[in-house]
Amino acid sequence: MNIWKSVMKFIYHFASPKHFYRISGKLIPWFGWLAAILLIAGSIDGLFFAPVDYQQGDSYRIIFIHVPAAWMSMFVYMVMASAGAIGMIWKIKLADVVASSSAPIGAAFTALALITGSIWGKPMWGAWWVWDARLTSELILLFLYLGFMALESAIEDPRAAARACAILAIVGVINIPIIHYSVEWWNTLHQGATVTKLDKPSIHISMLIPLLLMALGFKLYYATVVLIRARNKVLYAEQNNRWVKEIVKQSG
Amino acid sequence: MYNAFLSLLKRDLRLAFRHKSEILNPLFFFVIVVTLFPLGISPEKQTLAEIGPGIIWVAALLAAMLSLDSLFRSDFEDGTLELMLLSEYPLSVLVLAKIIVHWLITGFPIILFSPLLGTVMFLSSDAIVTLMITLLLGTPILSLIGAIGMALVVALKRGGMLLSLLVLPLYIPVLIFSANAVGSSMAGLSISGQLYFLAAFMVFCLTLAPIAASAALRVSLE
Amino acid sequence: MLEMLQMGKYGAYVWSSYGLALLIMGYVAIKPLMDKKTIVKELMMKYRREEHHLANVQQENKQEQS
Repeated sequence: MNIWKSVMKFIYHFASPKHFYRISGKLIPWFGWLAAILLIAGSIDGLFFAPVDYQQGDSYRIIFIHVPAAWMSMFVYMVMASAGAIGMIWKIKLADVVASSSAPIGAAFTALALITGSIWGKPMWGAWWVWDARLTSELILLFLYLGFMALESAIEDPRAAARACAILAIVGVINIPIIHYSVEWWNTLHQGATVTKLDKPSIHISMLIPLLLMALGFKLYYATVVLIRARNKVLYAEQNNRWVKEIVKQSG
Repeated sequence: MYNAFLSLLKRDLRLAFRHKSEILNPLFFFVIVVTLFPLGISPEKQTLAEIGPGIIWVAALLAAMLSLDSLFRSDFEDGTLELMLLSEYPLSVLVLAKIIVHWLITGFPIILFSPLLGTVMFLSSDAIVTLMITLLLGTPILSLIGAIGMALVVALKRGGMLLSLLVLPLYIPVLIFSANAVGSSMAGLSISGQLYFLAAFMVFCLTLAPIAASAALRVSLE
Repeated sequence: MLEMLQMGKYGAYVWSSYGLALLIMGYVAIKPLMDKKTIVKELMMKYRREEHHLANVQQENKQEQS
């Protein structure tokens, strides 16, 4: 019991706005530069060095963007729901801030996955949009993100907004597997055999490396941006505290 | 607790029957929306029979969603909700009573009317039976999930549009499986899989949605 | 080299995907950095106003005393 208490004490201390602001300030440059290096290296590797796919030609190179973006769109929603739950159960304000800072980034990833999927679909399917299982799920996920953001902006009190959004995110995260399953099921019924799916072009190690580089790059990019956004929110929310005044005066 | 549940159920039903429009308006809406499609697309039998299941279900979805306002709005405005929150009974049980009433006054009439619309859309008699079964399993889900969304927006002045953004994506699995079951039974295929899914999803929502909705109400009423 | 950039017949698709990714992710990353500047500016003005106000009140108090 004592250990638990001291763990919680440590967490509360760490999650205090002032502490978070200081530590995240040190982490952001590391994350940011590492993300940039990984993304550039992954793009170059994926665009020029990965071998041509024998079925899809060079068009498959879009997956190095599409697949990490689709992975992140799910991942960020899970982070939002977990952070929302943590914020609700342990009343950690920082968790609420992380949840609300994540939403626009997740929505951007989802939009990116949709757009690149559609661009990839044009040469492969001959149409900009096909009701393929992955694209459809991604579209519904975008709706969930938009709902989250709409609810957040509709409630004026930031704390009530955070808690309402946490409930919505948890309900959403429970529903995502169900939605995903039903869309997959619906898709197999209606489409029979489409052209090879976007997710598994006979993956070769030389294609896997740029994919993993990009996936890691996307994760770190998300970490960087979510920290920057969270810092902004913390700064604004704590504007009446002395440490914020000092930081503002120093930077100005 | 059971008594509190029952008396709330009775009170809400009595109130609903006093304002008959609460029962009739969603039903009219449902019928009108379905009628629009033959006018907008084509009165041909083949076309309508093909799109009929989907249309009837989409109309049911919209009718259920638009009627959610009656779930908590008036109780929020006159302070009854506040009292429910402070009462000694678990809020989720009271919320469940309200959801059941909502289903009885909106979902149930839709089920009763659905054979008529099925006939108008040229569904086969098997398909009409399936339509009624899917509505029986599916409309409670709509009320249950809708209650969560309504609880989140009840304190907002302009919650209507927002509510549809929150709730409609979550309705998608119900739409997919129900409309497909009706279509499959038109084609003479087995529909047990879809019905099992709907039944399981309904039980799932029945256990969790009242808890989520009452948590959301607490946030909204703070 | 040019051949490599053309990516068979898929150049336009591949490059537009990467370009859009750069655009979207760049915007999402730069927007909060610019937001921070406006927040700092806004808070700075607010603190100045408060200090000014405080100084004024103190001066008035002094005048009243004397």
